[in-house]
Amino acid sequence: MSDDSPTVPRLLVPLRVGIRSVWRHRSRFLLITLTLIAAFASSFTLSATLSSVQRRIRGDLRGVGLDLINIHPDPDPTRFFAHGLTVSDCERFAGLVSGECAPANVMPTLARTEDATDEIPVLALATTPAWDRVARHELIAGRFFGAGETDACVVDEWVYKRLFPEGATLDPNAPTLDLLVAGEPHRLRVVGVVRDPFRIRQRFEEWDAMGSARSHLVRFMEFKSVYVPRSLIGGGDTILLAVVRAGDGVDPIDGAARIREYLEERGSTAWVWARQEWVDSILDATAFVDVISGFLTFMILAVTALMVATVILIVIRGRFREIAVRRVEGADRRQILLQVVVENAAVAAVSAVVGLALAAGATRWLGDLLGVPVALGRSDVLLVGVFGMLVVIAAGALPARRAAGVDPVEVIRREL
Amino acid sequence: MEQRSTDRANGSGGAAVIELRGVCRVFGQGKASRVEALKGIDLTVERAEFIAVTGPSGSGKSTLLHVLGCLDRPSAGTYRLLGRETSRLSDRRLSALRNRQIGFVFQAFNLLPGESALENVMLPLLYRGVRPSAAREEAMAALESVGLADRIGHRPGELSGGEQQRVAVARALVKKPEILLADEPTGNLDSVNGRAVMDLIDAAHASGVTVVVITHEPSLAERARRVVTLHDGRISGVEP
Repeated sequence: MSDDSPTVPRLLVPLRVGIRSVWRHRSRFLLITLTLIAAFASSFTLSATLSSVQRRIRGDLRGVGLDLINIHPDPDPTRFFAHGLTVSDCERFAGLVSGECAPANVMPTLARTEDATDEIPVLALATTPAWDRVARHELIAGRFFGAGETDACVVDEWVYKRLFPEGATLDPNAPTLDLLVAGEPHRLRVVGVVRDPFRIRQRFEEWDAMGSARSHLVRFMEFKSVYVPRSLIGGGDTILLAVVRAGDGVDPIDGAARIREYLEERGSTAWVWARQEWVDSILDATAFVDVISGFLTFMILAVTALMVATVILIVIRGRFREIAVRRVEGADRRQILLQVVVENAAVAAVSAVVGLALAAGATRWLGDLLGVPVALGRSDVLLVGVFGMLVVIAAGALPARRAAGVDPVEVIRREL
Repeated sequence: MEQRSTDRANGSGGAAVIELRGVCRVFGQGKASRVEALKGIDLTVERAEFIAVTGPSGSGKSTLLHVLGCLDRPSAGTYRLLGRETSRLSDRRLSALRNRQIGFVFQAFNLLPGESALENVMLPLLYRGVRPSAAREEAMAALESVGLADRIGHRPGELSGGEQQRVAVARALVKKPEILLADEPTGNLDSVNGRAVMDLIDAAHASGVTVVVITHEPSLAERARRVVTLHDGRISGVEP
């Protein structure tokens, strides 16, 4: 044997030769590269879009007030009027959870501008200033009405924009609106504008697609349009609903159970639910998005892997002579196998990088289209990138084994 | 007569580079498809010897060369290369032997069409683990030695047949091999280019390389010190 000692470790030779081979014969790998770029770009985009929407939904839901407990009538018409909720119950609820309770009545009605140029159906929520402290809606402008203010109201962002399109600056000081109560118009000063609770209505209005899927109860509970003083509708002891904020250290789910127990003892049919429970159930339900995202990404990459494996096999068949020559000149089977694996990995890496760049543009475009900020997260990049690379390398394993199994003698004989 | 041929085929008793004992190579299984390409070959080749293997088509010449080049394994018998029994060597060891000790020149040149002359010659050095810069230098020197210094960037398709075979010779010699195996090296060349290639092989032999040439051209065989004739898988004659 020669005394020459290798200066490059034997197993690094395929790495060097493989990368060089991809560069020198890039046209040979063009079809595979384009296929992989398309697969990586679509996988990155899909993953980023679905996870961004998911993140957005989760973020929105966290903003609904996880320490709140809702109490309202059973929507079943036969039980609706047996709720028996009163203002004194509301005070009791506050005591049960060491927190605060805001009572309310709800009345569907019409709101119109002072000059009666526009009129829209709204839900008037008659409550007390405690509502502001309990529900903690985000005020875009102005303030909530205070105790003794009987001619003031607060509207939500959507109503404000509908009724005062010219006042899109959301300056609530000047405008007034007329609210029909028992057929009589009541002129109210708009003293504040609250943000549409977690912006869901606005989004559903735009998309509409999920509107029909949403529970009417949720629509009813979450999308009050105009907040007015209870005195406007008489202010008797009976209330329709209450919102309770659990005190510090009180688990709202436990608090809801206590209130439920109390109402059952009273024979009330009212429903009690902690928003935490509601959010948890929605998050559980939306977990399928992760499954769908993962499944679709897997399918895209798996189908691509099959295509790539087929193409690589065809390419390898066309390279038998080259492989035979390499074997004759001293490459062992493992080096040939590793060389093909390295070639596939190099092509996959380049495709992943180009696919990522394309996906960055595509997600921006999709974000504009959907009205949701869509961004490629680190987890999307890592998951799709690493998984995609592994899938492509696995897809290249069979062709690589085929290449390593080439019998140089057989090929040389055939060539002659 | 056959015994005498065998005795002569076993050389003069110097340092043996190649020792074949009772080597058989059988292809296929079953009576119908079974082909005995080599039938009990005994052959010894001494260091720095130049032998030619001749014989009619189908006599087993190329099969013998493949066995000698560790590209194929005997079905029976033993093959000692540089004193080492090859039948027990792994694919990796055999590949290393081909890479370091054996230079190949084929009738069809067997160059990589997508690579330049320089890259073709660098190939065995890269698989040996030589750094590309050093491999490049050695390959350029090898190409210069075969008169192709000005053609290093050309791909095989841009070279004449003679030039391609000279590249193949350079690729074989850049390994600084112990043995040079040539299978009909002038088979695809005209007489002028054929002579030039044989001159290169002669020069390699003169520098101490053991040369085994498979040929059916008498003019080539005349250059060898010993001519082994195969017939039907057996050595039928050895000259002188």
